Amino acid sequence: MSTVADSAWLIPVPTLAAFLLIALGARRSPAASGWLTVGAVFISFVLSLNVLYETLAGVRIEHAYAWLPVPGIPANLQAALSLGFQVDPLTATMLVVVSSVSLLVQLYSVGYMHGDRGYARFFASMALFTTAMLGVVLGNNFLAIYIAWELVGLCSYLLIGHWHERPEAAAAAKKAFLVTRLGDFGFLLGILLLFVETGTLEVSVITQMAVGGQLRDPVLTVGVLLVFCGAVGKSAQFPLHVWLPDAMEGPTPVSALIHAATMVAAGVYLMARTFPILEHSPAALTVVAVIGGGTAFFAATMGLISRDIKRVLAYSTMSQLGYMMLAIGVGAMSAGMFHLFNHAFFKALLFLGAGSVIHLVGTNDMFEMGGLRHRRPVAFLTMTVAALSLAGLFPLSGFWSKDEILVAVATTQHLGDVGRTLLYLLALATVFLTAFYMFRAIYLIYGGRYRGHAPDHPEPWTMTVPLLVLLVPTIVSGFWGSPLLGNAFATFMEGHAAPTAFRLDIALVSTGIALAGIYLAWMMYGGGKTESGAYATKQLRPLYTLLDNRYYVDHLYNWIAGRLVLGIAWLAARFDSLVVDGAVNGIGAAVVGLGSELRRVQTGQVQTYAWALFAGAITLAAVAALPLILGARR
Amino acid sequence: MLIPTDFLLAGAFYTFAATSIVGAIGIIRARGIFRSALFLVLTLASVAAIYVTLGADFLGAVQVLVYVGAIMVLIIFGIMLTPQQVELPDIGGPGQAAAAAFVAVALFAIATIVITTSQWPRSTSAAIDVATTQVIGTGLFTTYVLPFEIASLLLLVAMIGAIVIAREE
Amino acid sequence: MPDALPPIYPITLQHGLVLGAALFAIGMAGALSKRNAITVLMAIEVMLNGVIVTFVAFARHAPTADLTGQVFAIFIMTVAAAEAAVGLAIVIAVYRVRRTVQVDAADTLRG
Repeated sequence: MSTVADSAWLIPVPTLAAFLLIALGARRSPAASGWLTVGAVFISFVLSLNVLYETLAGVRIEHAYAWLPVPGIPANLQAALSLGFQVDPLTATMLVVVSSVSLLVQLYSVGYMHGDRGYARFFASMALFTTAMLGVVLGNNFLAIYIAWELVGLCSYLLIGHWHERPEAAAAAKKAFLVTRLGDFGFLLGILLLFVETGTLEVSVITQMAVGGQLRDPVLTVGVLLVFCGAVGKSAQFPLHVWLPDAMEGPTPVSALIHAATMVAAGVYLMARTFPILEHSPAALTVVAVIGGGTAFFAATMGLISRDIKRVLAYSTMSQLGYMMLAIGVGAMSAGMFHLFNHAFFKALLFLGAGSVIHLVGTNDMFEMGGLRHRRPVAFLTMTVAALSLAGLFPLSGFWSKDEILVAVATTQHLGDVGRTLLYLLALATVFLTAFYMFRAIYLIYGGRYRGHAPDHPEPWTMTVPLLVLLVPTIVSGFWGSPLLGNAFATFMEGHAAPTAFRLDIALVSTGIALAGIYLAWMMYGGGKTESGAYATKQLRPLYTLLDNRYYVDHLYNWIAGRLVLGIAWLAARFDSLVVDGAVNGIGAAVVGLGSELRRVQTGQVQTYAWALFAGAITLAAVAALPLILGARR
Repeated sequence: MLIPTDFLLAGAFYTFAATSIVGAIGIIRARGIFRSALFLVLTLASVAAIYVTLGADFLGAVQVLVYVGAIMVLIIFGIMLTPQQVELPDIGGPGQAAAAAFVAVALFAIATIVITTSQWPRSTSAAIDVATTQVIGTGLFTTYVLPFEIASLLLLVAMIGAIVIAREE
Repeated sequence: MPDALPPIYPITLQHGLVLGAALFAIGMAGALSKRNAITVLMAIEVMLNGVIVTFVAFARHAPTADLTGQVFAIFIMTVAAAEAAVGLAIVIAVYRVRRTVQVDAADTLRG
């Protein structure tokens, strides 16, 4: 009996068709491009819902096709060059997340990007991106995943640099591409290493080998950590995080879709997909946990002082992704995925809401906003609810997933006592910072009176509706994984009863800390006042400068790139001019020199030539007569 | 005879060999081209005498007729027709003379060594003391008639060629 | 040593050959070092005479029935005459253009 899931490979196809249609002709009609893309994503969304429904009912699928029949290559290589897809809880969940958020963002973009010169190009890139992202979550072997992964990176580049006439946007796109490329290089090395060791690229087969003990340390650890490099790049974890704040140069819908809900989540998805392999390497788990927890805290600190709402949200995304990595690193894969699920919705909502106010006032600077709750009430309401969810307040979605992570960190068996305590404290501190910076932003944007000069205008319905639609999962998506429904999400995801028990004490502690953060934000920025912020900045000037310069990581990379790359380039240039040019010119000079010496043989004098002739003949005669000559001496 | 013929013959040979060598060296060392020509005459005449001592009587006569008679006249004509405006040093370049001398000496040394150390076959038959003219004549018109005809053709061609090259435009 | 040098007399093959080699060598020295083209031609004649002497010596001491050596000597003389004629014609032609018979003067093929 065949199911919709058997044809799950169709899910990325409508948006691919939309991309091709737009690229090949629909560009002439911007309106057509926009609605075409929305329609295509809608089809994918419906199919994804179907697949999820079937997966909940227990359907599990895996199909592969050998698409490159090359005669004469060994069987395992032949199998490795297959492209296939699988349908399991992880994939089904991601399909729904990606297609739903993509649908709402595309709808939003119809209004937000109205009048933009590159309107059709925007939707073409968005459609291609959706295709690629769906491909990443469907792929069942590393080759398919890597292909889609790279395509996602390309679309991110295209979309960040959508307003390519702006040099900052072009530079940001380039930076994003280069940094993630660096991670992808590690990813590729990891894939190759695993292939060499196991002879296959299929994730399920490699998993079996890891479980069965055929794949062992150190190859196992090194391979998984190399794959993690790709995740570090895509999910903007330290040290490959530098591209995400700059990526906010792109249009806000791009930030919402790619840099909040989906592409950056691909890294987390990858680690979840390879989790059964990862589990068998305690060292790798520790690395993942440390990087995740560290990035969570580190990013949250940078969000404290930002003037740009989108940058605040970017740091917030980085931080929450750190949480998800932390969860995976302590062995609670379903907790991380649950947080990804919830985060996608409320972060997208936050970005779209921010887009709303940016669209109104024409600037990202929060200090030029204020009092916008009157002009954009829907945005105000939805963003506030989303902010509460992000802070992790009961009973919103963020509460359940964040708490599950905290419990997992506090009770994990994978780390020693010291590590566990340290990461737990870091996570709690991050809760405080998260609540603080988020509500600082809310108060600055919506509180008090409007500080700017932009005129008011009504918002298109295409921008308002997605906000309201996203409000629903922001509130209720958490219940799926809550103890009220028996931890259904975890059971669904892990395939067995996953007993991450709910701990009331941890829940109370985290809620208290979040409330404290909100309170501090209210104290400093409530009613939209900015004086206390300015005061704090003046008093803590050195700390402010450190955070403002993003801990100088960018400066460090610039310096390395400058010194290293320029140094190597200088060496290469010297080598080229000395050795290569020297050799070439030297050969030329040698030939010329040899020529001028040899030309002296051509004296033009007959007697010279005759002499040479006789001398040669006599030499031959001497050689022939040598035995006689030597005999005569005796 | 008191003096054996061998001895006479050897003396004649040595005498005329010496004169021919002196003449040859004189060509090179003489001052002025006309003196070189005279030394050449001495050399050619001496060589004619050498032929006679070697039993080639006809050849000796031909040598005098052709070489001394015709070729020398040609050369003298050539000298007279090409008067030099300026008396220039006759040997070109210091190294050239030394190099030429070196090569000549080397050649002579090698040749002498080869000649004196090789096993030449002893002459088994007696020297031919008949008049060689008849023998040569017969040979030219029987066994060697082809080279004879070609040689005559060659002379014709040379004659025509010389006329063509040397005539006034 | 005993077999190496020929006796003073009677005259043997080696005497003739050495004389021929000597004439050839001296002629070569002259041909390669003199500047006047006509002198060079004269030296070449000396070389040719050396060759003829060699042939005649062979004809004397290793005779054949038809005196091959002497017949060959006739031919050499023929060729020498032809060559002298043409050579002098060339010298005169060059003299007409260059006003000199110096061998150095004909160096337009100099590289």
